[in-house]
Amino acid sequence: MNGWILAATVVLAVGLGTTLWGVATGPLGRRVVAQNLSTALVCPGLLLLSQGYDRTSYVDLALLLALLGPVGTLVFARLLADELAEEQPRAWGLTWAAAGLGAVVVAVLCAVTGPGRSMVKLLIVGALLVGGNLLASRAMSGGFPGVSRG
Amino acid sequence: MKTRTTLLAVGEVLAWWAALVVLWLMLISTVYTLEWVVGACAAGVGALAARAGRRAAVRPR
Repeated sequence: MNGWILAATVVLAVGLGTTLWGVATGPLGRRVVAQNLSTALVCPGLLLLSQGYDRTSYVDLALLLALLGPVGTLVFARLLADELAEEQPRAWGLTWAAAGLGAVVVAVLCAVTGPGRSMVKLLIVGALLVGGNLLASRAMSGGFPGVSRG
Repeated sequence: MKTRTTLLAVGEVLAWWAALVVLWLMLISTVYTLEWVVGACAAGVGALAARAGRRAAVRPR
């Protein structure tokens, strides 16, 4: 076990554990927020694991998760639009904390990787991760009133 | 006017294609000729889909 795997374990255990608990219990708004946060926390965990095990294929998993996680949240935001319209779940503190964690992990990994195509790939993953989650959180809290809800 | 519309369409598809080829090259692990060919073909399909999606989302006035 090295420091990367330790960090990944902490991120996965604390982040994924808490969000799974949040998804499984409590009111609907909290569950949706926790579901959105879970992908935002697993993605940095996978990036850390890829560095720890020296397996670049884990970065592809993180890329997929960064892409599909917010899409899944948008599907929930759409399907549960009526219920969420009353609650308008907001967790901007946690959302920004998750985004900050993703940004820090990506920045550290970029510094370790050094300039090159793999660094650009990491930056793409980071941009998708942070941007996608901020977008999904905004959609969830009714931040796009102009979009027709069906 | 018609020529201008065609040129704009071709330009848009080419711009999407170039961006998607660059994205492909950034995401693969090793760059060799076959990857270039596959990436260029996939980016071609993606560019047409991207233009169709853009036109469906943003209606030209």
